[in-house]
Amino acid sequence: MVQVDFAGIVQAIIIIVVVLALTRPVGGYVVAVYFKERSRFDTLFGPFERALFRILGVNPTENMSVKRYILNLLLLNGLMAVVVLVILLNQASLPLNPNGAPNMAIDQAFNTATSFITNTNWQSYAGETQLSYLSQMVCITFLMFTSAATGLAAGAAFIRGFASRDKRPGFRQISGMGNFYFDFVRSLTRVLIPLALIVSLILVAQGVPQTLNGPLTYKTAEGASDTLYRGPVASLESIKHLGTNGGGYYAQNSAFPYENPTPVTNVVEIVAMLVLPISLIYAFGVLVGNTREAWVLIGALIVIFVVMLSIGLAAETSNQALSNLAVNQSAGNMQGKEVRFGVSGSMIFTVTTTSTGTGSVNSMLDSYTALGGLVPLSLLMLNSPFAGEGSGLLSILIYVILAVFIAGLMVGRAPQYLGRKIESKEVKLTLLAFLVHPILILGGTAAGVVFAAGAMGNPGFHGFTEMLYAYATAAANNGSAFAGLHADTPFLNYTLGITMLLGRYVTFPLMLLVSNSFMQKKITPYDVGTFRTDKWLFGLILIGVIVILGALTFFPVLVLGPLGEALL
Amino acid sequence: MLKSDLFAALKTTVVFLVLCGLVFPLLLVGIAQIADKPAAEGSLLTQNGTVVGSALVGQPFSDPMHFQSRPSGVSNWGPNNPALIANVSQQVAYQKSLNPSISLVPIDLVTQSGSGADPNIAPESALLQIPRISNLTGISQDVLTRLVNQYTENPVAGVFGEPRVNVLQLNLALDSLLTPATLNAAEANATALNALASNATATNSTAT
Repeated sequence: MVQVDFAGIVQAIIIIVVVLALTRPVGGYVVAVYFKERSRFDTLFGPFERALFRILGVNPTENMSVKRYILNLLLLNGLMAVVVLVILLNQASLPLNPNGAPNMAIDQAFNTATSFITNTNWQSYAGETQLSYLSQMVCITFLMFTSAATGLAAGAAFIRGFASRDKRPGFRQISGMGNFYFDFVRSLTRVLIPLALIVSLILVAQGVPQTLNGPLTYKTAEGASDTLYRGPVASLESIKHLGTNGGGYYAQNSAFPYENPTPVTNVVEIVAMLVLPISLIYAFGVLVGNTREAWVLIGALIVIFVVMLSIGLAAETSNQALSNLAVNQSAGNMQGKEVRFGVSGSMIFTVTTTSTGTGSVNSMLDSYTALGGLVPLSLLMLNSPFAGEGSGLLSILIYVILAVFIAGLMVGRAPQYLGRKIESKEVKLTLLAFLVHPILILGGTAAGVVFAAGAMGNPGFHGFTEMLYAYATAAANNGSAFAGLHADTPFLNYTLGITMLLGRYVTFPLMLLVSNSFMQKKITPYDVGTFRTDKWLFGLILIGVIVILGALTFFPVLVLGPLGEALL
Repeated sequence: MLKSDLFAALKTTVVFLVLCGLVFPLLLVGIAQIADKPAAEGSLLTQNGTVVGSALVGQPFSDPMHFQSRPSGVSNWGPNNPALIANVSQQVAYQKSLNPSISLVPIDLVTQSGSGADPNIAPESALLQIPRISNLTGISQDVLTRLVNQYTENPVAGVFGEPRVNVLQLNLALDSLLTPATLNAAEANATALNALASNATATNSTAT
C-alpha cells in the first residue's frame, strides 16, 4: 500500500526553492572569488590573504600549466595526509585527549587519512571514543576544510578550460589553468571558513555542543550509569556539510542528537550540502557566457533528485516483513530512524547526502527497505551527480560530454560542446574517467565478497548489498555506509583506502586534462546546425544518458543485492 | 621548481592545520561558551542539583511507572533480518503486557532508532502509556494527558520534523508530581508489574 507523504513533498519543495533562491547570489559570489579582477570583499579579505601568500612563499598570480597544477594539488594533498596519519598513530600521547582515545592501528589510520583527504569520510572507527579532541580538530576538521578547498580549486580550474574567451570587463584574463594556491587559499578564506562560521553559530544556537570539557559520566533518571560524550562538535559539523565531507563526530553521525538535534538543524545541514555544488554549476554557466547552460544541468539534476526521493519515500512507508506483527506502521519504517525527523526528514537527508558527495547520514541506511536502500546506492553508482567539493563539477561534466558525444553520433554530426569540437582525445579521457568508477566498484565488491565475507553484518542478499555499498561509496568519494558491515579489518581498511585514492586522484587529473584540451581548441559559435546544450531537450537527453549508462553498468550487480532482496 | 613547490606545500599544510584545525574550533569554543554555555556543554538536565542526562540525548527507562522510551542500541539489522523480526515481536509482547488495552503498538516504541539514543517518542506512544502510569502512581489520567500535551513539540513551521515528546523531560516532570508516600506505593506496584511483563516477554520469546 503506497501512501502519499504530503509533509515530505512540502518539505522537499521548500528546500529546493530555498536552494534555488541561493544559487544566483552564492554562485555570483563564487564567480567573484575565482574569476573576477576585484570584488567588494577585497578590502575585507585582501590584507589577510596577502599576508598568507607572503608566509607561504607563493606568487598567486603566476599561471600554472595543467601539469604543474595537478602536481601541486597532489603534492599538497599527499603531505597533508601524511601529517594526519602520523598524528592518528600517536594521538594517545598528544595533548587534548580528555576521552582517553588510544593510538590508531596503522591500517585504520591509513584508511582514515585517505578517507578524509579524498573528501570521502568513510569511517571504520567510532569518533567519540576512538579519536582524541585534538584528532577531531587537527585531523578531521582540518582535512574537511582542505579536501573541500582542493575540490573547489579543481572545479575552478576545470571551469577555466571551458570559459568563454570573449573579453568581458571585470574578469581576470588567464591563459592557463590558473594558480592552484590562489584557488586553494581563496576557497578557504572567502568561501569555506566564513560560511562554516555562520553555520556553526546556527548549530550552537540549536544545541550542538562546542566544548573542550571531557566526557561526562552520570547517573540516569533511573540510576543507571551512563556517559555523555561531548567535544568540539559544532565546528566539525558545519564544514562536514558545507564541504560535502560527511564524516561524523559520533559513530551514529547526524542521527546522533548532539550532531543534529532538531528539525531546524536537519534542514540547515541539507541546505548546506546543496548550496555550494549548485552554485558551482551556476558559476560554470556564468564563465561559459551563458547561464542557461547551467540551468539545464541544474534542472536535470533536480529531476533526478525528485524522482529518487519519490521512490525512497514510497519505499519507506512500511516494512512488509513486520506486517504480520501487532504493529501500527503508519509512521513508516522507523527501524534506524529518529522520531524528530520521521521518514520524510530522513529520506530527504539521504537523497541529498548521496546525490552530493557528502555521505553523512541521519538514519541507518542498512535498515531501509530493499528499495529504500536502493535509492542511495543508485545515486552512488551514478557517482553522486551533484558532486560538490568531492569532485567539483567533474562527475556531471563527464555525463555531459558523453551525452553530447552520443547525441552527436545519433544525428550524424560532429559533436560539439560550447563551441569546441569533441574529438577522439577528449572522448578517450572522459571514457577513462567514467570507467574508473564501475571498475573500482565491481572489482572491489568481487574481492570483498571473496576475502572479507565475514565482515557482512546481515545475512543473504542484504549482506552482499553492504559490501557493494562500501565499494560504491568509496569509489564515489561519498562516505555514507550500510553500517552493519564490520569495516575495521585490515583487508577492508586497505582496499577501501586504495579505492578512495583512485576514485579521486585518477579522475581529477583526467578531467583537468580534458579541460586543458578544450582550452586549446578553436571556438565556433552556435549556428543552425549545432545541437544546442542550453535547451531543455538536452536536459532530457542528459538524464537518459545518465540512467542508461548507470543501468547498463550496474543492473546485474543490483540483482544480486537490493533487487534480489525486494523480489524475494 | 620542485623544491620550491615542496616548501610551499609544507608551509601550506602547517599554516592551515593551525588555522582550520586549531584557531577555527577554539574560536568557536570561545564564542559558544560566552553566547550559550549550557548548550555548548551539552544541554544538561539536573534533578535535585545532580545531572541526570541531556535534554537532547535519550536514555532507557525500565521502571513501568515511567514513560518508556524507544529500545536503545543500534543494530543495523536489514529489513528482512530474522533478528530484527524476532526483536520487534519481543518488544511488541513487552509493550502489550505493560499496556494490555492496546491492540497495535506504534512502530517507534518497538524499533531501535538511528542514534540508539532517540530522545523522543511519538505523542500517541506516550498517550497509550497513560492508563498504566495512572494506575501505578495514582495520578489521574487527565493530569497525565495534560502533562504529555505540555511536552509535545510540533513540527517547525508546520512541516519540518514530526510531532514528538521528549521522554526524559516528561519523566522528570512526572517525578516532580510524586510525593514520597505515593512514590513508595507506586514503586511497589511497578516492581510487581515489571516482573509480570518480563515473565510475559520471556514466555513469548521462547514461543517464537
